Amino acid sequence: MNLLQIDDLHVSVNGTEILRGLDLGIGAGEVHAIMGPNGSGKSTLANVLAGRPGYEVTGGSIRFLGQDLTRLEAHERAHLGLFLAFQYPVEIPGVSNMEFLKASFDSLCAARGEAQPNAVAFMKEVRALAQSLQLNPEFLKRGVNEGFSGGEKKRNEILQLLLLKPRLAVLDETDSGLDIDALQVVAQGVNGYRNPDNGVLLITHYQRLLDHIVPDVVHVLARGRIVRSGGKELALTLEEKGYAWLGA
Amino acid sequence: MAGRMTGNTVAELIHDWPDLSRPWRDGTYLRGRAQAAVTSPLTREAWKYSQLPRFVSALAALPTLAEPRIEGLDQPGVRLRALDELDDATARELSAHLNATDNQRHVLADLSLLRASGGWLLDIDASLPSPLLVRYPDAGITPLFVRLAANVSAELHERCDGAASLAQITQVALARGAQLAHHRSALDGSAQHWALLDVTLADSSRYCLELAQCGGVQRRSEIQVRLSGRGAEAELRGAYLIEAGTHLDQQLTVEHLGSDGTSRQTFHGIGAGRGRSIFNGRIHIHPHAPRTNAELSNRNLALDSAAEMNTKPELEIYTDDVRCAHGATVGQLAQDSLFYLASRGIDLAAARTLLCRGFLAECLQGPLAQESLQRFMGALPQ
Repeated sequence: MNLLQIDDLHVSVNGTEILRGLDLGIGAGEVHAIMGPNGSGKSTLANVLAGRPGYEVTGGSIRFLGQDLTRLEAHERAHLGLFLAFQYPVEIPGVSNMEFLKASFDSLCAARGEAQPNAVAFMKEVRALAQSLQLNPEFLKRGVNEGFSGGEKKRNEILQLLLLKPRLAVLDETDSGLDIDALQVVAQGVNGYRNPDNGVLLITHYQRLLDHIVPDVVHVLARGRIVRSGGKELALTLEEKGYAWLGA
Repeated sequence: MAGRMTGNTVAELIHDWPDLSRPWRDGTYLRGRAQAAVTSPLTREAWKYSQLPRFVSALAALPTLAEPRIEGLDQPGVRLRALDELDDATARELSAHLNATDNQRHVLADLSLLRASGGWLLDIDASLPSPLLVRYPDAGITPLFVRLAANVSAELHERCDGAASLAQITQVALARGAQLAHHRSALDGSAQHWALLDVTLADSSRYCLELAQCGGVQRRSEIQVRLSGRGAEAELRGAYLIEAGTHLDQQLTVEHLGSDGTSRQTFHGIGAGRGRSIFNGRIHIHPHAPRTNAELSNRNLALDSAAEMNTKPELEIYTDDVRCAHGATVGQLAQDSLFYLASRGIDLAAARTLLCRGFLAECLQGPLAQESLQRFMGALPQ
């Protein structure tokens, strides 16, 4: 059974159909990349998976670990092991990053019936993760993403990924706004997260991220559907020829 | 018309109040200008949302003096004196200071001083290693003058946390280079509380206020900060919450009288029930205050649709060379923030609590913050 199985998915936003019959299956241990032109529905897919309000599923199904994802609230999807790295991480002044991470981790522990870690051990782990991502631990004391640069915000998303250890990570244009160094740090983080039990869905505009996080499958999304799937070489072809040759 | 009637009602209420003078208080003068002020348009505007007659009646029923308990007086350089025991020169200085209050906006200050049978002068002549903690009694008029000598730094905590029926007057004067960190909380929802905080800053002095307040049966907080000297700095932060049946009226004025001054006002409030909040923040930059930098931000979250949150920033600028920014908002919790937290497994109730706490914590980081935030969080709708 695939971790994620999407069949004939139709999604509308404000009454406009964006996804029009999308099929996608991601198995454990797999990394899938979705590429596509602007407006093809990439971010809509990420948001509908995570359960953002305003994204209406009008047809088809999404099953995650065998469960109907569309019946779950956003926080319940996270409890089940779904994670979305945001394209635009939200700033929350007044709530410290550490406080936020603890609240998040505790909620997952509670949902899984696990004991919450003691605060000292938790903070130590978080600081170590921050260092591995070359994030100054001082950031943990600041408001969530408050005043962070674009690259720091994205690294903070990866920190959460590594901390929360979801079964499926959806990375929505995590590479946008990153310089080469930051891109490598982020890619190392994601590669460190990969294992035979979990899966990754990379949404990206550019092939360069796929030099660092090598996908098993590359899909092209156009006009709300997957129009072509292939191996990692498909990304190179896209880089060379653009999307037009697919009629996208 | 209503305003005039209010003025007349107040004039009747105070008609037979005695106007006893003391060396520190010119009763005849205060009474005369209070009587003139109660019918003035400015007073009417300043009391648009709160009932002046109700506050005046409450004032008339108060004990004429209530002694605050002050901890930390045993530190070197601290001296507390009753106003009636002051030497004539000091008393006259205080009287002159009182006569310079903006009485049009603070008419209740004159009336409270007229009723008060005494008060205290707290002189701080050396930097203090420990904070001074002032606790107010349950009922009465409490005039307290605080003076910091040049280059002295101190921390002052004031707590009016009981079901207080108070007319609280705090006058603070910072001499050149002095620094005061001032933390005040007033958290009881059943209080009948009026307060004037009047702060004057000389050259290069620095004043920082952190204020935590809940609405009361009637609570009104008037704050006037005057940057008289050159290069003075004032930072005013406040967090507040109104519950069902409570009223909180905050009237802030920052007067930039000297050049190169900096002021920043940041106030965040939550409407958690059918109550009423009024925030009026005024920045007044006088003609001889070039290179002033003044900011005012007031943000309100109306969690309950029946909460009434009024906010009005006011700017009066009479100098060209200034930087001045202001903003006032009333809104709901941001959906983007709620979704971000939900996507990390935090359910809606917990996310709301986290966001509300963070919103208030932006303005509260000092020694009274934890206790105040706990009080605020306990009042949020479940």
